[in-house]
Amino acid sequence: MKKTNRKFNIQILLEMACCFLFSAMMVYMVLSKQYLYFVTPRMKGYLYFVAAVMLVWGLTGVNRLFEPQHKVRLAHCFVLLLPMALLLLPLDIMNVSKISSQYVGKTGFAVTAAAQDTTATTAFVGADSAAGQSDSASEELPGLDVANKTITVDDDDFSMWVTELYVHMQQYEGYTISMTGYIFKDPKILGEGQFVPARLMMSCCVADLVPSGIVCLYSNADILKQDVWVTVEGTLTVGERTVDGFQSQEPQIKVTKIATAKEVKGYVYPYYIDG
Amino acid sequence: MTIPVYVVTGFLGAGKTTFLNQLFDKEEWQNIRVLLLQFEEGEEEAAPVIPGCVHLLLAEDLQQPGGIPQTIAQALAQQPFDEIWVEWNGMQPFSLLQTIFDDAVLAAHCSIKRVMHLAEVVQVPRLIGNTGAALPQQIANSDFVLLRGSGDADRGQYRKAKQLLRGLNPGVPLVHGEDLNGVYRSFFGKKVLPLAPLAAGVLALLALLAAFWLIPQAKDTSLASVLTLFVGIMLQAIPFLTIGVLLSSAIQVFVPARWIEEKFPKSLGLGVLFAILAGFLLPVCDCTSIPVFRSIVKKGVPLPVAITFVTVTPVINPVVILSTYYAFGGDLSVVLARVCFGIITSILVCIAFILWPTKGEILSGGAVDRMMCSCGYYEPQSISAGAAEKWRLFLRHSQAEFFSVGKYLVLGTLLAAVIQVVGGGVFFNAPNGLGLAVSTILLMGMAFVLSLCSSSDAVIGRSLANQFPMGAIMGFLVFGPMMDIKNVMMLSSGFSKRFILKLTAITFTASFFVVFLFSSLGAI
Repeated sequence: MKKTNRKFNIQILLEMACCFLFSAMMVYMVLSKQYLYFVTPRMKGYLYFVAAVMLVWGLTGVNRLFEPQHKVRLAHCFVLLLPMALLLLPLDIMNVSKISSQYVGKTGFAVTAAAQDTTATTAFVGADSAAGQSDSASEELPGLDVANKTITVDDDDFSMWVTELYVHMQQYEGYTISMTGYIFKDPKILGEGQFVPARLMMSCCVADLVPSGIVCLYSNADILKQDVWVTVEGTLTVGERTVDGFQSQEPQIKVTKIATAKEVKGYVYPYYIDG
Repeated sequence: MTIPVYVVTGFLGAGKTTFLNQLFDKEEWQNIRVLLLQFEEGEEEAAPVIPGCVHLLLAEDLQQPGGIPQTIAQALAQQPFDEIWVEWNGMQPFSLLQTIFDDAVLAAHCSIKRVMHLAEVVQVPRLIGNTGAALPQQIANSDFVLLRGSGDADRGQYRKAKQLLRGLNPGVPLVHGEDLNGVYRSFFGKKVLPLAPLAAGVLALLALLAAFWLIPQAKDTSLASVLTLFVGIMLQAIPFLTIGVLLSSAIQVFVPARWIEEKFPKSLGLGVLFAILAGFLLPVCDCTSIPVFRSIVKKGVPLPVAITFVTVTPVINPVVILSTYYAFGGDLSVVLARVCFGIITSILVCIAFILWPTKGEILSGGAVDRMMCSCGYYEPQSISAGAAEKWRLFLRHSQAEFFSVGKYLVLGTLLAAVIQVVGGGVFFNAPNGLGLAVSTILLMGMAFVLSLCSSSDAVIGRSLANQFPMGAIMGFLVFGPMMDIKNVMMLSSGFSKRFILKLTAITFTASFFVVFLFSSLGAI
């Protein structure tokens, strides 16, 4: 083989370093579950995939480390450097008050507010049983006590229960339920004496956070302070809502008890992603 | 001490020899000992007027370049030189020159310092892309370009030349005509290391991180929201972009253009059907379909068919269908409407492009883009390359494409994040009860600026349902995935501005027409 003077190719070196670092970063984000602050659990596999591709790209650089190159370019490495650096920001940077005061999530209210007519609800039920969730399976749901007719919603099961209550609202009528969320009130959506103990729901990434939850009926709702975390206890009932001319039914909670609660960290995800 | 090597590149007849003769015909060169290496025999003979100049004509030696380093080394051994000047061959890739000077017998004595490319404004579009891979590689490797004849060319020609040169070598300084001072500065001035801006950027990022960790109030600023949104969208988009560049590179490297010519459905109808079917089957979003779009256009798939693919895929893929189904509480009519409107709109866009074909080049790299990959590597992609070589090329190509499209993704995402934080309220605070037409246009505009991923926009769309009629929501769900700020930015990594503008305008008009017509008729 011909002898050449081997000069280090700094561009390749930097590209390799970025790929390796990014790969490691993705694995760390998934293992530490920190990725959930930005995207949904659905992305787990995708992030591992990116980590693998980056690793391979980094490895291919090894052969090219001494490739001659006159014009060196480095700026494109910011495509990886920038997200990596920003992932190191403090994680609690996004909070409830910001969502309700600043941007996208503002009008959103995911589960209750859409123009559902009754046929839509039926369609949902049908689809659900098709997916193998028959009514009898409901008895094994976490926090459900059929004998005492109570539902204690664990923070981890929030989204599952909101979906379940919408799907089988008649079945749970009269049950006593307790769940924790922050006070969400929006006169555009909710009437007087109504509020929602809401959690922020992410369906794709942090850019699409919307409050989600079950509407509560409480005569003193006006004195409740927006964004305060509470645990609500009450009786489930089926209420009516009219949106855009369509009347639809929705589960509601007649509140019997409200207590302040500790803030619940993390977001909830649509049940189909969560499950 | 190593002797600096100055290189002049340019196509045959660009006037390299004339330039060197003019350059050396100055007082200040009298005492400089120059070794002039000429790798090309042009029309004009090199006749350096410098007393101490040694002139080696190596054009013939290029037949067997292995011996060239030795020849040069011998010349260097005979007498001392201050500078080496190279007139490189217009038909040879720059990498060959680098191999010559990286040879062990030379590397200790001299190294390439600056590279100039010489070009004539009116010739640039004619030459690039029609003369093989050597020229683009020379341009990409030059430190500056001496652009001649800009006085005679009209503004359009000049703009075209500039666009092509910068497309191959982003930000390359252009020196004009007879500006010898500019040439001197560019050859002998201090070279800005690309490390400096990189280090500055990294420092700025570190300062930002420190600020957020040390100052608690920083979290309450709008900047904090912008950055969080940015990271969220990027983390969501990067995997899909990765899939996109892998798919598009696979097409680029493994599928010969001839195969597409032979096998791809000849009739437009079948082609469109095929594009829609592909959209149905691919669980990808817009971050994936745009790189694939570019690669199939390059491979010669008819433009209207490729446009059908890129517009319909993000609306009708399985992930989007699923998320729409759940977001709208299992309402199949919404899912069906979204899919149908998406298909009808993309067919309308396709028809528009058949009726009004785009004039001129739509790929921003022009013919270069069609001939080879624009990822910065100009190795001739021979179809006969072995399997191992193809895999190597595939990995290299996909990585380079990731960075090149990624740049635009970063910009688009930043822009979208800023607009969401600063201007999102404009849409969300709109009064209820606007007419169908106004609210449809409003929501389509909103979809454009929000740049949501098509697998998440259904949820936002549904949350808007208390404020707007269903028809307007459909506008949001149909137009949003097809075209938004992020997509426009990503398209500009490979397509001309005029084409992107036309595509955006037609897509907007078509989706508005479809949504408005069908919802007025009571279809949803």
